[in-house]
Amino acid sequence: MKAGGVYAAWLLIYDFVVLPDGRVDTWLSITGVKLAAAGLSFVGWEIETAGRFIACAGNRGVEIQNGCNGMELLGLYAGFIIAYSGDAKKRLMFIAGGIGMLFIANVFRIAFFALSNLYYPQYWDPVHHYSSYVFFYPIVLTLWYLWTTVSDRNDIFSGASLSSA
Amino acid sequence: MRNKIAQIMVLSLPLITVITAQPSFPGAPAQAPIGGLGLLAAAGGAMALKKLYDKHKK
Repeated sequence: MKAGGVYAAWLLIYDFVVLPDGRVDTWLSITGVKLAAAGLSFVGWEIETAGRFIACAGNRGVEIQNGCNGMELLGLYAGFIIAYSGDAKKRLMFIAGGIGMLFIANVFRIAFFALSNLYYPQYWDPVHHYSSYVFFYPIVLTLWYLWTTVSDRNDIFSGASLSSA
Repeated sequence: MRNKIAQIMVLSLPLITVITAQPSFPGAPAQAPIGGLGLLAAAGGAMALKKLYDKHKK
């Protein structure tokens, strides 16, 4: 219940404040594209970027729009950690560390999109549809599982009980 | 002078074909939304419920 409430609150804030404002989303999209382009260029691919567009030179580009850059996922991830009881310091570490890991995963995802458009453009639909299941969800589920384990261990040591997450 | 302007205009007309025959842009860029967030939320909820169930069972 608590997790659902935190996520619902985050969705409202995201849909009505953060997304219309656009600054955080734009920063996330453009920074992700720049880092992906830098990484691909570093390992030898010829990459073209323009703002939130990335493409292997001469090929079809990928646009990372606001709302498609993992921002909503970050809220869902953090919402679970906030809702599930545990030590405040460890909670902050899990939120900050997880958001950092998901940001890096998003950079790899963007780079993967650019390369998939170069080598397998015919598979764009399944690639972009299932990319989250490969790049994001294993990380999120692993961190959630670790958090529930860590907070349970903390509860056992402290004698505190679980809240209804 | 008028004749020269008319000549330039007439001679320029075929160039319109060259100008309009520029190569087109590549296809529209593909967009990259994140799918399956509902499934992820459901999986997280199930995980939390399982933990709570196990906790109460002990």
